Amino acid sequence: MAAMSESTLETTTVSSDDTVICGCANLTVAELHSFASGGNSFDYLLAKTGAGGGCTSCLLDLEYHFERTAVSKPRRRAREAGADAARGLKRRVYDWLDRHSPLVPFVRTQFGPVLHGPGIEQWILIANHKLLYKDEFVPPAAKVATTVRDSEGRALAEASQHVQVGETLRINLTDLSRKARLDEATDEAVNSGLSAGTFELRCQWLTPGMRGTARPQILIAAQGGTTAVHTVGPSRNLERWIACVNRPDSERAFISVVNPSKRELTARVSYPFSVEGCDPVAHEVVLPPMGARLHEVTLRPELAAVVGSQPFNVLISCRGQKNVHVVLASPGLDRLSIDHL
Amino acid sequence: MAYNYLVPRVSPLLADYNCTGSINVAELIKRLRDARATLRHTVRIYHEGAIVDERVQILDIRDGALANSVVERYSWTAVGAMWGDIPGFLEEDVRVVDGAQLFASKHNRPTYVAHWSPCRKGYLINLSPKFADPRAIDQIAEFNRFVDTCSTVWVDQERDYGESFIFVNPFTQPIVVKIQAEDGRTIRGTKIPPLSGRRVGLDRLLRGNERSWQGQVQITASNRLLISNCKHSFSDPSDVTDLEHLDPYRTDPTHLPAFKWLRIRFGHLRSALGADMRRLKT
Repeated sequence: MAAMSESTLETTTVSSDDTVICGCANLTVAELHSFASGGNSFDYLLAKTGAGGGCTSCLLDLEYHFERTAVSKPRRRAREAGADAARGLKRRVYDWLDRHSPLVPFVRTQFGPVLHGPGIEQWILIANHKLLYKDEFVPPAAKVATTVRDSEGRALAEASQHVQVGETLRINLTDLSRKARLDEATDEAVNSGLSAGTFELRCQWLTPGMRGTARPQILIAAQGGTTAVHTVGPSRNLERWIACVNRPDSERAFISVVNPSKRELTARVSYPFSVEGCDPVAHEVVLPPMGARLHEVTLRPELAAVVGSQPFNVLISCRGQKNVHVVLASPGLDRLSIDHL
Repeated sequence: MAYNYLVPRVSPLLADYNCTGSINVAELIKRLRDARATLRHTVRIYHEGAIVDERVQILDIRDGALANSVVERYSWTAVGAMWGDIPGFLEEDVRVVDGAQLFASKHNRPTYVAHWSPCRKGYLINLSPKFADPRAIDQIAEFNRFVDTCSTVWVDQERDYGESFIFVNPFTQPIVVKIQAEDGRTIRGTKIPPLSGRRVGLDRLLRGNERSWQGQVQITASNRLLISNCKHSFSDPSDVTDLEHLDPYRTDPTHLPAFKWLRIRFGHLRSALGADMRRLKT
């Protein structure tokens, strides 16, 4: 992403220092640079100069130039000072090689949970649309390969499809995994009514271009509502925190962990934190290779009595790559919301 | 480059949904150059152009640890605020008290805040940067306009699936918004007043006797603003299932130079073998 930012910004026309960027406040590019390079915030620039506060047509330009200054100044200074000449040479060689290398497609591989429960249906949506406001920008077509696995990591189904420009590809993960799932109901699923398998998604674009709208989305429909979240690649973050409120009559909270690796993985879900007089309890979640587990956040009665209605924190810790999601559900599982951590 | 602030972060607030978040002091300390600073942490609640609540705390950080006592959790009790159908928003602001440039990075780590309402399930939503989002900056460079997208719209009266967009304008000038669907359906001319939120029901995309519609929409506006997709009951829009940020129309490349691809693969391999990539980057 960082590399993309640089190349995009380099291709944009650079205004000269005396160009007026806000006609209402008579602010020049040089004055804007001086504010930005002083470590001040964008809010401060707007408040101090009055720029962007008249006709407002320059607000996007102001933000772009403000950020561009922050990105480019250190590099420019380093060049002027001739600092770290060896690295400069390496950079130049790399740039030359990059310019002369053939282009290869990014293959984005993403994992996530497939939720199974009463009346729950889940899709992956990949919309590949041109920019509706600027007809000349058309994204490339893409090839999408999907593998659905059960909670133990066993492959249930595979599909390979193309998504052309102007299309939205809808992959029904529930249908793909339906046949084999019936005989793998775990104790967890029997107890909670909700269980998780996994999906693996590999996206590859067929010709060079920009991604546009094509970030895959998870869409889940339950009996009383829908929820959606974009897909993400596996994360190596050691710890993630979320806040919960213990309201078993109104809401259930589940932590979903997907193991994208071919080795067993152990995660730990600990809570409640940030409540005086409560010692957090750690729950170990062992994930088979390529498998998934769902942990329901529940407090023992004696802890629930101390916590009451106060919000408390939940810590999810795990070494190694994984995908972690939080699912908040109504008690009857007829409404769900999902977020990635 | 060093900074005397972190980019403020904003999250929408809906009527009747309480909200709680916490200050992640460890993450703040990681962003300091010398693990030493006096910071002002402010949480403001805005509704219809006015600050309706504000909480300020001083964080005294010395030798990489918090040296004073602070209340790390902040909460907003919406029940009884009588906001009706008009959303507000929460803004978190962190600055160095004396203005010294002590932050090595101006971006805070993504954080969720939890929202809940009595007798209803809650939802989580992240705090989004008020400005300086790299993807939005790339987009402005490429298209010279702000375009957010949402491909999961599903309005269905039979199933009681309703949706709205929640627009938050955290700036001091009004912003005009246009919503356009892939098949030409349009909602034009929605004006978001300064420091305010607005909710636009997507049942307005239904034509004539239609009872359901699914598709992709793109939203453009006269300035950048924060947009969330609210999934709720069709018959009672105040009963929320989920709230999720939208995606910018992305300018990320689909291809990269083969030599760069090799470098990335090499980096992944070293990382998998346990190399300290932070040290390698310096």
